[in-house]
Amino acid sequence: MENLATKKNWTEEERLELAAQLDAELDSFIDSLEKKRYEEGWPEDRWQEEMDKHPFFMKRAPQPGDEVHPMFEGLQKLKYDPEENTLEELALNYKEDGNFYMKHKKFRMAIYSFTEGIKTKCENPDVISVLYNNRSAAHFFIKNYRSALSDAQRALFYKPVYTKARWRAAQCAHELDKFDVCSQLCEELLEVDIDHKEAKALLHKNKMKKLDTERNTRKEAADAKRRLTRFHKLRDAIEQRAIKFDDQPLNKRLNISEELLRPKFLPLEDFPVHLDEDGNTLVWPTAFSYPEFLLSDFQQQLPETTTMSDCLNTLFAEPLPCDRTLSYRPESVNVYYENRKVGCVHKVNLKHTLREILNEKGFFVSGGSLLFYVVPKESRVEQEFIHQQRRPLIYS
Amino acid sequence: MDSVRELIQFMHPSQRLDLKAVALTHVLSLTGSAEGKDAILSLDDMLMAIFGLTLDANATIAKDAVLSLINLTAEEVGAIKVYELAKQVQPSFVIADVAAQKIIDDQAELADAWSMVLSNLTRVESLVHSILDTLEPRLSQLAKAFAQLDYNKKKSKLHYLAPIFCNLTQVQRGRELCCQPKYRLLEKLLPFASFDESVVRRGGTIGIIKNICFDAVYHDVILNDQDDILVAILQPLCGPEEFSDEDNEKLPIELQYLPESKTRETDPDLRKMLLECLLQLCATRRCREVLRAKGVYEILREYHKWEAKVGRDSDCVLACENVVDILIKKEEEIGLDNYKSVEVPDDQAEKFIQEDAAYVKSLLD
Repeated sequence: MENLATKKNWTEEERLELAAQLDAELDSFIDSLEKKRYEEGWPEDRWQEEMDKHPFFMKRAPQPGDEVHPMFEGLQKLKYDPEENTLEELALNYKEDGNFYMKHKKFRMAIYSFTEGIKTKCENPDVISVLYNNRSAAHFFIKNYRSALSDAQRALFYKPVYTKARWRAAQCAHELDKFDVCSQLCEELLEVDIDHKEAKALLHKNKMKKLDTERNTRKEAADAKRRLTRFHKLRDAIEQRAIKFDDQPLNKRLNISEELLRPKFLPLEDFPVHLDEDGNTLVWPTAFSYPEFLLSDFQQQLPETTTMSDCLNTLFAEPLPCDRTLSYRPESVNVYYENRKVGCVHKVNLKHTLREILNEKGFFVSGGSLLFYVVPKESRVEQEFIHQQRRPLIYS
Repeated sequence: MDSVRELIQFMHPSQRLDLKAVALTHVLSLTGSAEGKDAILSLDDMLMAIFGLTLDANATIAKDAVLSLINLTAEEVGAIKVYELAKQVQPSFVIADVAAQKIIDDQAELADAWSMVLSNLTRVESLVHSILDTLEPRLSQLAKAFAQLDYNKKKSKLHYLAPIFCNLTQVQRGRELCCQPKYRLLEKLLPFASFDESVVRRGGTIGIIKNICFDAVYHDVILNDQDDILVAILQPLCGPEEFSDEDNEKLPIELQYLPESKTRETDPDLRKMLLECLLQLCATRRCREVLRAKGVYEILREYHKWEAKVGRDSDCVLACENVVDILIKKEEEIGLDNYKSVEVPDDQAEKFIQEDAAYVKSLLD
């Protein structure tokens, strides 16, 4: 072929021929390219998923732990890279993030953002104080009142005239029962704006709460004192009567405690021994055991002035349900108590009062209560009861 | 007199420090005696020199000048003279204003001294209106300085603000300002009726309460839901005695379940003032009913026992009995709505007063 470049005169024919030749060359070139599919686009079936991941089209912010689209990462770097932003811009970026999270009630994320903003240590006190104030708000909404208060106070440190922060601090102090801090803050608010209605109301509410709390403390102290006095009187009465307890070693000094006097029998649990209203008579929780039936009756409050006879009359006012033979009548029974130390029983004189009985040498209070055994007179039950093997309790 | 006049030339602010100091020391000692005071008060120029020196840069000079003013204003005549003269001086030296500023300045070393001057001035009823004009815009700040115990950083205690407020309540306008709910002045002042560390604070605050109670207009304010004023009156009269739960529940919250360590007001004059307040409050039926409902009788019952045995001031015992007598009666027996509307003829009044005096003598064994 002649050198195309130097050919000067082209006939129409020659031009058409050249065009067709070029077309054919192009076609064969295209045909020679490898047949490849376009694979960089979104797969058809998952296009919505992909769209959600794309930073321009995503509908919700990525959560921590999500894998991020590379473009997103790139944008992030732009926003947060300290080299790309001044400290103040960085802090403000974090602030915006935090505010965004607040709007969507993602308080913990907001706290995280504001914290990062604070960590920039940017030098502008207005910016820092807003970050602290906003973080305080986030803490407040999730009821972290201590953190909220401390943040609000930091905000005030950087900007003393920050009314919003002061108001929030006052509310936190109120929630934390820091009465004096709260009233101080409210007074400061009212100094700036005497018509701050909420501060006035909170001041009042706070004062009432403080007075109530103080009164309750005083009342508890008074009640505790009353209980203690009553207990001391009880203790003195018991010591005065030289009452013996078998939970305590004989020769050591008696240590009368509430524990010692707590009745161990379930039905008597709520009726420990006490002095009655006139302060002179001990009232005892008492158990009456029937060896024959392996049952017990309980008299929760017996004055020590009661005689055993009276007790029996009360016990048998109605016959015992299990007493088929009506052997258990006031005049037909004997009453005993056990001396566990020695391992024997003593018979009770029915005319004696409880006080007199307790005074007997062999009587010990056991498990905070009095325990008596009731058996029919001159019966086999009685004999078995008396001669039952008992091992004495030995104290070292 | 001439020798005194001669001192004036040495008291000019531009004079040498040592000359000023010596002259002022002399003046200060003169103010300690009646003749000296009179001499100084008759010399307008001397007074004006003293005014000038109160603002001297040297702390000792300023202090001596203010101390002189305290002595000069101690009596009514001196107070009026000093106040009126200060108003006329050029450049103006509105003494109440200067005093107020110094009190409000938390760095002022002479705050206490100035507060005593102001306390003296406000004691004169005829000056109170004019002083109120100057002080009115600053009342909130003064109350704040008073209520905050560590307000002044130079160790001034500002106790004398209490008598100042008390003196201001001598006149109606002062009472109105104190009771105005918007500024909550009373709320801040009242707790000091029981302030153990200073009898001046206590006395002043109780004086305020008394002035308010003696004005019947305020009885409703006093006996509304907020027990502030009533508590301020009763607290110094309450002791450590125990009341039953029922009785306790009647009392205002601050007075319920008081601990064993509670003590009563030690100054009998102050106790008497408090009882007189209560007596004033017994004037109308509605108020009497409120007092009964709040357990005032129970408190006075215990107080009476204490006063008879421990306090032993017969005027107080009588004052207490006067109140109790009214509270014990049933309303039908009293038959009157307002005690103050009763007219007592003069000769009867004479007789009652004599009977009281004799009774008082017999009260303590």
